[in-house]
Amino acid sequence: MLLLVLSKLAGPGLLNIIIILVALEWTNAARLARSAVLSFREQEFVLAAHCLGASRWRVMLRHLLPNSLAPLIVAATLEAGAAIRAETILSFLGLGIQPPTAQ
Amino acid sequence: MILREQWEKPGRGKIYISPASWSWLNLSRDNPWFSRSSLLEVLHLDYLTTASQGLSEEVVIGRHALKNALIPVVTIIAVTMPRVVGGSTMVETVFAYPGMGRLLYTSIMGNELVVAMTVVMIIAMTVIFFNLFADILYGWLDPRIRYQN
Repeated sequence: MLLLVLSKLAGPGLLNIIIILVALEWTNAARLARSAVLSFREQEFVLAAHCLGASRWRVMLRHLLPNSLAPLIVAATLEAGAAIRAETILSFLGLGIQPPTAQ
Repeated sequence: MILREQWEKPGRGKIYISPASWSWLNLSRDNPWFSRSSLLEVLHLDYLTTASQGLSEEVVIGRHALKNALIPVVTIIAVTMPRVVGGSTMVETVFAYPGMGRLLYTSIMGNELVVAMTVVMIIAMTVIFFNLFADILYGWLDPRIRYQN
């Protein structure tokens, strides 16, 4: 929905489409990561890492991120297809990449 | 009732089959992948080993494993629901359905800023609502989740 509005505002062009898709599609992965981290951060290994003196960033990057990676990998594979499909829909509606450039 | 009458009119009911199946495939295709990966992650945890001492496989998977594995699935459903509310521009354009997606498309192409702003605002409100709904649901699915520090 917002994709249509933004691509109309930005105008056609390969770089515009890439920027808009990146700006919109990262939110799905971010919400997935948040939902996974919400349940992991209450577990004991996080408390153990804190007790051993790990900083907040270290806990986030070395303990929470690898544990919550499973849904993110699935999301990455699906998002690649979703981005291609979103661009196809834009092209079908006449807002996508224009004919001189190959899709 | 109206749907039933539409369906029984000769040649009318069939028009729902193609757009409905298209939307269904489009909106629900992500869920099996997420449920599979998160269930695989949950299945080897200790509390399931405890639960499997004496409980049947259906109870272990259905009640104990699935409830904790549902969190990414709930997230994906919450991401998908605004698209259900907002309608699919693609389906409505291809099958010539007068819906919210096509309204947005025609208003964008006709430079009608007010209509486009309204549609985007309605969809943004559903995004916020379903995010809140998913957040409440996380707390029920996994009681360890606490939002206040």
